[in-house]
Amino acid sequence: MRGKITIFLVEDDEMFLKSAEHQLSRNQSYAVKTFTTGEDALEAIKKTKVDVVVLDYFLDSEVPGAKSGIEILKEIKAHKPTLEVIMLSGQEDVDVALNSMEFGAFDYVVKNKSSMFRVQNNIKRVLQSNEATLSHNNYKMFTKWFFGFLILLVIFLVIYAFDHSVFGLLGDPEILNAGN
Amino acid sequence: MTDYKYIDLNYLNDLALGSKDFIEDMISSFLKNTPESLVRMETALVKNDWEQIGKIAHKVKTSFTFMGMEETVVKAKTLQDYGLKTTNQEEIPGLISDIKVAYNNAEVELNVELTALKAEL
Repeated sequence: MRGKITIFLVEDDEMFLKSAEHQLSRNQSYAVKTFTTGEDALEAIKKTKVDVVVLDYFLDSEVPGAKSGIEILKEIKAHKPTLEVIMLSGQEDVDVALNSMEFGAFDYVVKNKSSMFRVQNNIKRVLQSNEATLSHNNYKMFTKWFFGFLILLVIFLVIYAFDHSVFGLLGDPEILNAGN
Repeated sequence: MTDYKYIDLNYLNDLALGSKDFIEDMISSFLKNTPESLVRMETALVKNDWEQIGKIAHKVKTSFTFMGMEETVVKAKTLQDYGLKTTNQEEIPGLISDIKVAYNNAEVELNVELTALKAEL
């Protein structure tokens, strides 16, 4: 049986973080871990297995020198290209959405009263997509092994048939030897 | 005396799904963090640091949303836009002042809510 789904929530707004954690933690199959900086999340992503990341776009809003959500997104994708990231932002700005998608975000959610509903739907979509990829990879692996086995079996049968037909044509070697 | 309320906790109650601990935690966070943000906003105003005002307004806007302070959310959004786009600077002090007044009134109402919540817990 599969373990809990690990979700990393990266958000520098304490109240939004608390609320998002409260909403997501209601699902007992989710293990939610929260981070207030992208840098901390990135370190943890490098060391642990994560299924989905929910990342704020404006992480550098008040901390001088802090990396922005887009910078963190790029680094996540550089280290783990298949790890899906859902971007969050308070700005209803098409450019923000396009930027996020351009750098590999799974989707983009504007912070409003229904945003956590959309985040949860996106998490479900990510998990379905991961399951589909896993099934596809398993199928590919199975067919690879199956055809490998089939080829080996054919080679063995050819050698076996050849071996027996050659000796059949020459006669039984033991009988031939006994004749001498 | 007016019946006007600055806060509306319906949204927070919806999010809480029955958890009074969650509501208490959110109100406490709001009361702890917002005054600090407002002070930093005033400091930025003294320095004419419009961008910083915009960034702080962006942050507090979310907090006001949780407390159901719709009018203040609109003012914070306007402040955010003016600050980040460096426009309408003459309106910025008035908006900060309005937000402060709204916060002070909300604080009184929230303390009443907190006391009631703690009595229930």
